Amino acid sequence: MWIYEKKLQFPVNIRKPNPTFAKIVITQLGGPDGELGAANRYLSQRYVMPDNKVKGVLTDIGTEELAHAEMVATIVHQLTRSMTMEEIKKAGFDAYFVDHTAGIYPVSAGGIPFDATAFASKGDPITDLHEDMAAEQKARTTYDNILRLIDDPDVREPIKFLRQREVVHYQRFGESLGIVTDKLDSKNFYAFNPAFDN
Amino acid sequence: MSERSKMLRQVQCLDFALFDAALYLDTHPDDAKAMKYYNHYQKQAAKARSEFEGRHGTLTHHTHNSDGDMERWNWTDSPWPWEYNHEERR
Repeated sequence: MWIYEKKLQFPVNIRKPNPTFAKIVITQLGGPDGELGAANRYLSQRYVMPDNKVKGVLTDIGTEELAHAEMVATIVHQLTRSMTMEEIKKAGFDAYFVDHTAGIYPVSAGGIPFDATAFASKGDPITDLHEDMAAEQKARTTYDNILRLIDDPDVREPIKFLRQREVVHYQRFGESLGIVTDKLDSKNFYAFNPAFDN
Repeated sequence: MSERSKMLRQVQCLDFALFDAALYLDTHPDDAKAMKYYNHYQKQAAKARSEFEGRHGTLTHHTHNSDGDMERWNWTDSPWPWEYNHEERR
C-alpha cells in the first residue's frame, strides 16, 4: 500500500505562468519517457524479480517516480494558472485547452495521450533491468532538452533536480543488473529468462 | 520565506537525504558507513517532522503527534503541495 505525504519531494513555486513552457514540460508526465510511465514500469516489474534487493530498488524508485509525477503535474499546473484567452491562443495552448481546460491530463509534448506501452514490463529480469537503465537515460535526455528550451529559473530548478535523480536511478539499476547476473551462469546470461525458465 | 515554509523545507531536505541513502542501502545493505549516515539523519528527520506537524498540521494520516487525542481533523486545513505560494520563495 502507499501513504500520501502532504509535501513535494522538491519545492515548486513558479512566479510567472507560461502556457508555452507547460506544453513542453507536460511530456514528462504523459510522454513516452515520462514519470507516469516510469512509476508504473518499476512497480509492475517487481513481481517476477528473483532478488530481494532488486525488489527493494524497484519498489523504492517506483515510489519516488510517483512523487516526480506530482512535481511535473505541479509545474504544469502553476505554469497554466490565471491564463487569459489571448495568452492561451498565442501560446498554442488552445488544442489542450479545448479538451482539458487548465486541468492536468497526461499527454506528450506532441499532444498524444499517455500510452501504457511505456510500462514495458516483459517478465524477464535481465530484459526489464536493461529497459530501466535505458529509460532513465531517455528521461535524462528529455530533461536536458527541456533545459535547452526553458530559461525561467523557477522552472529550471525543479527540472534540474529531476534530471539528477535519473542519473542516480541509472546507477542503482546498473547495480541491480549486476546483482541479478551474479547469480546466473556467467558464460551465458542472456540465453534464457531467469524468472520463467528455471 | 514564512516560518511554515522554512520548517517544511527542513523536513523536505532531511527526508530527501534519508530517501537517497535508502536507495543506496537497497543495493549496499552491509555498508556500515552508509548505515551510520542513515541513522544520523533519521533522528534529525523525525525531530524536524515532529516540530512541523506540532505547529502546522499533519503531513500524513499516520502522525505520531496526536497520541490518539486529536480534537479536530486538520488534514484539509493546510495548503496543498501543488499550490503556488508567494511566501515560499527562496
